[in-house]
Parts: sequence; structure tokens; C-alpha cells
Amino acid sequence: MDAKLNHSDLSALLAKETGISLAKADLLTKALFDLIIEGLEQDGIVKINGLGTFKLTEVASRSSVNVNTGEKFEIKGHKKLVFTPSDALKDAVNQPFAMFEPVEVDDTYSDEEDDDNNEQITEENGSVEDIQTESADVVVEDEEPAMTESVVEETVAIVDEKTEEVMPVEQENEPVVVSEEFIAPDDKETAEQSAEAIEQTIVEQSKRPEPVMVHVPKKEKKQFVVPEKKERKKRTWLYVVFSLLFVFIASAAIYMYYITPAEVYHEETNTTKTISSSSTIVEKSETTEYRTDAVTGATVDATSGATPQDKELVSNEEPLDMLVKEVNEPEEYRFVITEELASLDLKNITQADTTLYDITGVWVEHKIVAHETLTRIALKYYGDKKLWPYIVKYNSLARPDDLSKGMKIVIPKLKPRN
Amino acid sequence: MNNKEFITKLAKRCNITVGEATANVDAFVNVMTERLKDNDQLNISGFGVLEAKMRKERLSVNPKTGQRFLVPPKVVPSFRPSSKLKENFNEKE
Repeated sequence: MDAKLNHSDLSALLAKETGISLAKADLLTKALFDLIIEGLEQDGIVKINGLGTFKLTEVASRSSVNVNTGEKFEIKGHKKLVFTPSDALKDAVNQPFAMFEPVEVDDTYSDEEDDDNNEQITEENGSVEDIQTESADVVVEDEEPAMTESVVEETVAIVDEKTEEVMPVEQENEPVVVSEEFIAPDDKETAEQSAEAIEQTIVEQSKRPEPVMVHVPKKEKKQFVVPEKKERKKRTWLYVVFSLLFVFIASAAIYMYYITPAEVYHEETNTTKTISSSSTIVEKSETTEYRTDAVTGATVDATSGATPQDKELVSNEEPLDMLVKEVNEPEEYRFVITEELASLDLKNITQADTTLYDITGVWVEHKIVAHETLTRIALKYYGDKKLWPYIVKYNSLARPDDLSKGMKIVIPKLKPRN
Repeated sequence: MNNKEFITKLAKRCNITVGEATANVDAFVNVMTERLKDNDQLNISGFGVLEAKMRKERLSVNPKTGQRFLVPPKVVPSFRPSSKLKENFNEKE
């Protein structure tokens, strides 16, 4: 027990252990250590079973520096006595720590662990926000029967505020329903105001509120709500879903950018009123990852609200034709247009370069309507919006970026130059 | 010098049989082991100090694989030769 034992103590212990006389034990231990020294002098190594090995090793001479004076001096080569304990002795001494073994330390966090942490954080945030915004919800419910404009504005305000405030509102069914109802049939002025306000948020979040875009989140929403309640390990799967969603939105945006004709803009202004409220909720819930039954209900509402918009889109295809007819376009021209378009497609034009086409004459006269640009006109007539410089050139427009509504321009006929 | 040589020489020096010597040496080794186990320090004058030393836990890195290991704490027997013994070996040179 942390005691310091000397030679005689050891001899006494040995005498006690073996039963030999103390003098004899003393003699024996002395002889033992003397013999070890002798053996080291002779062979440089002494092995004793159960204790270990005493060994003399050579240490080569090396140069060193005096720490105080900085002088260099040489440490001469010498012999060093090394004791290597036997395994039995090592094990006996290390018995209190024998059960320990080296453990691999894994300090690099895996993705799943990180996810779990994040999730916990978000959950905590959610609960905190619940408490914070409960008061707001209560206010809305209290004034519900009154159905005054002030209530509408309040709900709208809550909807407008982007993430934190909206999430709790979505969580409970009532406020959502209330806001939707308010926006739809009630005061049209306030509804339009809210629609405009929300439209801005839509524009920020995604370029155009498509009906298709509204559809997709619903499906994926339903799918990931269920596994998340069961286990959190499905997070990787979630990532796949979100990446797919992102790709889809991106492709939709590209589609809109390259293909959509100018008329879509007019429809949007008509339909935003119906979509705006629902689509914002869907998109926001999508970003905030809220997963309650109330949200799914809200998304279902959203999609059902979007279907009439689909129909409107289809029905609005007709005005497109009407517009074309307005230009007093004979049937032959239409044929010519399609033929021209076909030839252009075959040529696979990628650039509106003046070396590629010759202007052969007047094709049609076009009256510019609202929200129309030269690129859209070029897209409409040539099937390629990059050919707008020809229109500018033929009409010798001084300021092609400043077109006025009702202005008449002439669409030139183009012939590929070979 | 191995264990056998050591035992025979010891028997010769103490005028005892090899068997006796073996038993005594084993007993002495046992005594020392027990003492070291109890964290005692064995000061043998003219020879050195035998003691059990605590080694703290540490992190070691496998340089090939980069794996990091936590090496647990352990107690190791250690021997410090006396300065007299050290001089003894180096003066003979």
C-alpha cells in the first residue's frame, strides 16, 4: 500500500512465505541480486522466470546542448540497464485495469447523427413557437364569428409572414380554413390585396405558380409524413424526394422560360386569386417541413383549389387562336407559318444571326398587346425567340425595349440564307 | 544468463539444492509481485527500485489507417537501476 520496502523487509516477507529462517532468507535475497548484477556483467542479460528480463543495452554517444550556457557537449555512449517485466508480472500488476481494451474513437459525425440533432433542434423550435404564437391564434378564433375585415387582415398578415408565424397557423386546422374562406368569397378587395401580397412571396419563392407544381408536393408530402412518424432513419429517402422535387421545379421553370407563350401571363393574373392562398401554404409547408394532419388537409385543399385553374388554363387556349385570327391571318398563311416553323426546326437554329437569314418581305402585321415583348412575338411567329432582332431591324425600331400597347409592327418574312 | 543458469549458480552460492533454490526464487518472485500489486515500492540498495507505475489513458493514431484509438489507463511494473549500479557498468568499459 504505497509503502517503501527495503531489502530486509523483502527478506522478512520471503522468510514468512517459505518458512525458512530470516538469516537464510536475507542471505538468499542478497545472493539473488548480486547474482543478477554478476550475470549482467558477464552476459549483459539475465532472465528470471516470473519476474522478467534484465538487459544491458548500448546507448550511442550523441551531442547535446547545455541548456543554461548554450554550449555544445557530447553525451558519451554508455550502457543502460533495461528491465522488461514478464507477462505474468505485467498482468498481475495491471489487474485493476485488465478489463479495459483500446477503443476506436470515432469523432467524425455521421450524417444520420447530424440529422437527428437538427431534427431535435427544429422540433424544439416548433414547440417554442407554438407557445409564442398561441396568443395570436386565440385572437383569430375569438373574432371568428364577427367575420370583419380586421380579422381578414390579421389572418392575411399571419399568412404573409413567412415561416415562423405561418407554421403554427398551419398546424391547427381552424385558422387555415378561416383564412382560405376569407380570401375566397368574402370581401374581394381584401382578398385581392392579400392575393397581391402573397403573389409577391410566390414570385420570390418560385418564378411561376404552376398547377403541376401544386400537385407534386401533395403526393410527396403524404409519403414522407408517414415514415417520419415511424422512424427518423428515412431521412436519406427524404433527401431523394426533395432533390427530385427540386429537379422537377427546375425543369418546369426551364420549360416555362423557353416554351410558354406570352398568353400565359394573362391567365396568371386571372387565376392567381384562386391559387395564391393555397399555393403559398403548400410551398411554405414544403420548406418548413411541417408534418401534421392539418397540413395534409391544407395541401389537399390546395390541390382541389388548383384544379379549376387547370380548367381555366385549358379554356384560355382559345383566346390564343382568337388572337391569331385577329391579325387577319388567312388559312394559307397559317400553313405557311407551320411550314416555316418546320423548316426552322429542321435547321436547328440556335442563334439569331443575320448571316443565317434574309428578310424576303412582309409577312403579317402585328398589333402589340399588353405584356408582350419582342421575344414573345418572335417566339410566336418564328418559333424561336432569338429571332427578334429581325423584327427590330425590319421595323427600324429606335428603342426596341420601349414598346407601347397598341403599337403596330410588321413581322418580316424570313428565308434561310444558304 | 537464462533462468536455469541463474538457479544453478544461486544454489551453488547458497549451498542449497537446485530444487530448493527454484522454490525459493519462485517464492521471492511471488512476494515481489504481490508487493508491486499492492503498489509498494521495492528499494533494493545497490541494485535499484522496482515499482508499479500508473500510465494514464491516451489517444493513439494508427498512422496507416488514420484510425484513432483510446488506449485505456494501465499500471506497469518498472525498474530504475541505482546510480551505483549504473556507474558500475560504465566504469568497466
